[in-house]
Amino acid sequence: MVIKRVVLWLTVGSAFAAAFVSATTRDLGAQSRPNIVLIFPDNLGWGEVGVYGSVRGDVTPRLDRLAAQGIRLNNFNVEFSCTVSRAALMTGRYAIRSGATQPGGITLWEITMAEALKSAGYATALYGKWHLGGDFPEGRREPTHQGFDEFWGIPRTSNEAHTTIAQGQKAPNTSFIWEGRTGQPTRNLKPFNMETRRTVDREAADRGIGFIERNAKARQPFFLYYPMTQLHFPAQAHPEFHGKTEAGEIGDAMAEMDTNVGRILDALDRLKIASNTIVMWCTDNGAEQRRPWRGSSGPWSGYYNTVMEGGIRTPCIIRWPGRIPAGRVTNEIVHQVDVFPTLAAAVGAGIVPTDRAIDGINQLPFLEGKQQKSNRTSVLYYTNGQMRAVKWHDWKFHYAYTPEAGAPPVAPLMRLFNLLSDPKEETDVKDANPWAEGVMDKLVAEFDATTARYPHVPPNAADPYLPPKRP
Amino acid sequence: MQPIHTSRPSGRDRVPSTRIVILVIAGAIVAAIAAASAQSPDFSGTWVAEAPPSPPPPAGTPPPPPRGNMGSGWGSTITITHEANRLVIEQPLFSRYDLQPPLKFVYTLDGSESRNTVMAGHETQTRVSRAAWAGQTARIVTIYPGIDPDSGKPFSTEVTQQLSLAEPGQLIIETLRRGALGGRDITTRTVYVRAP
Repeated sequence: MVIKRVVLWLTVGSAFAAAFVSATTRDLGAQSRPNIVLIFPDNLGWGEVGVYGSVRGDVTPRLDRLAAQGIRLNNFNVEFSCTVSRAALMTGRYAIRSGATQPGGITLWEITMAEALKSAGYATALYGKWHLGGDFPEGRREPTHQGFDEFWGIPRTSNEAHTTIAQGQKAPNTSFIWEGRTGQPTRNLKPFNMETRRTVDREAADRGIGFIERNAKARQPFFLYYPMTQLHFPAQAHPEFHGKTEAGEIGDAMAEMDTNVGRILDALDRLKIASNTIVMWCTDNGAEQRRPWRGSSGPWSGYYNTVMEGGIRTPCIIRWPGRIPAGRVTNEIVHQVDVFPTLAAAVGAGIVPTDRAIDGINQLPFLEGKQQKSNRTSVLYYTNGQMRAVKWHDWKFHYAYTPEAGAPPVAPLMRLFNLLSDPKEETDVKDANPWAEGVMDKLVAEFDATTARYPHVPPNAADPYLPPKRP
Repeated sequence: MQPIHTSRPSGRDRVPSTRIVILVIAGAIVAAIAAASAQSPDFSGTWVAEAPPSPPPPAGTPPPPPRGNMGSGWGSTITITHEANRLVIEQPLFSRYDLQPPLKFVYTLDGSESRNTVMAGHETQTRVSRAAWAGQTARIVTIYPGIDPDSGKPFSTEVTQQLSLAEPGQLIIETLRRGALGGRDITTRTVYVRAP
């Protein structure tokens, strides 16, 4: 009798267990695609991050741990400034193609990574800094018009806090923190000033965590884009971090940035979704140059708004447990335009547009360690629509050497550097390498040839934009 | 029939003839020297490259983006010592603080091979040249070694530099870089003036 009862209970228990496992498997299967958290701080130079040789002491323990858990890119390339960098990141296209400018933003014809992921079933949100809608994004070029289900943050840029004058406006008290949802008009939540400047990143992180929690609970794959406002000037940290580092306001802001990264990572751990979440942390351009918050470019020369390495080579860390081997460090060339096609490959969706020129290359096999070399050997650098420099393997070729932002080019304009033997771009070796101009011109010509089929969107183009019909 | 007169120069008559021969020979020597000197301009001196002129943009169009060029291949300031059949070209590559001598290139102008080994900034490089006169132009053809970063294999680039003098006091160097690694030929014309 006892044996019969045991057998009965075992049978019932097994049935329940089987049903539970089945249900769980079904739920996990419903979210077969990985989540994506893309953290994108502002004007944060190479020399600010511990694993990249921070000059400010031990202020980035969370980033350093993240790097140990993933891959650290030592040759991650970006556009030279805020808007063009965000345009390239979001579209997978060099910014010269999308006609991105700070006052104009990008047209709605561009297909952003958020739009693409949304089409693949992702929940999407942006908490932080947009800066792709031009001077007047209201009602026309907001994040919710470009694929984000939710937006909270500043529509333009951080220095508006100084004056409270919105970019493109003249009157004070015109800069606000916005909130928006798809299908609803965006509204001004509160003024963006020197007080809220200190708290905007923390609040964005909190909202990002809320977004993660909601979607984790619903087993809904999500794309969280967290473009932080630190360390863009004025780099003034959350009050909790005031004086914490003894490395000045910029050190305090770095510590706050690191803590906010940690809070996001902790949420992923707490919700047990870290193993199915790609976390990418990279910065929009090189170090802030404006004093008194001048940043550190680490071993490189120059700052943002130049195509010196200090302006266009930034730290980048990517973690995807079980897929990207931990602790790897590489000097292979990757560009921010590669992020879109790489993430598209990671989520297994054919969402990269095919009706336009895409400069990005899928780097997933390289990141996963399936190949030693990246799929990219060159990068073109334009500023304000003008070709300025080309990187090819370890060589960097300047057409008009301009080491200082806002200053004229310095003679001799054409210069060649080897970035391994001369990382600071100081000793011009073009005389010893007469092949250089021909090879670099060829790379530029190959790019130019694509514009016959896919003309650039003119800068400041209005919506609705449609490309010219091909003959 | 009238006899045919043949005249034989007398001893007195022969003296002017000898003088003429000597004068002719001397004149030939002077002319040869003059010709030689005309064929071999003296490039000696310190020269500074002028900024390449920017062609004005067509009316109503924005100025083209700034763009330099590859220059002569010897930098913007050079010092030339022109000896009988030899050119010595010195190119300061580093700053005074670096305490490095200028790069020094020696070319024999008789078509024979010249080898110059220099630390040219990234690595020590040996360039093999042949130099000769072509009229009043010194023509130097040099093979530059390199490593193709795509394949890791060695390759070479041929560079032809032609030096000539122009009025007033200008040194012109036309440099043709043969395309390598799929790149096209690049030609530059660099105008140097004497350093003040």
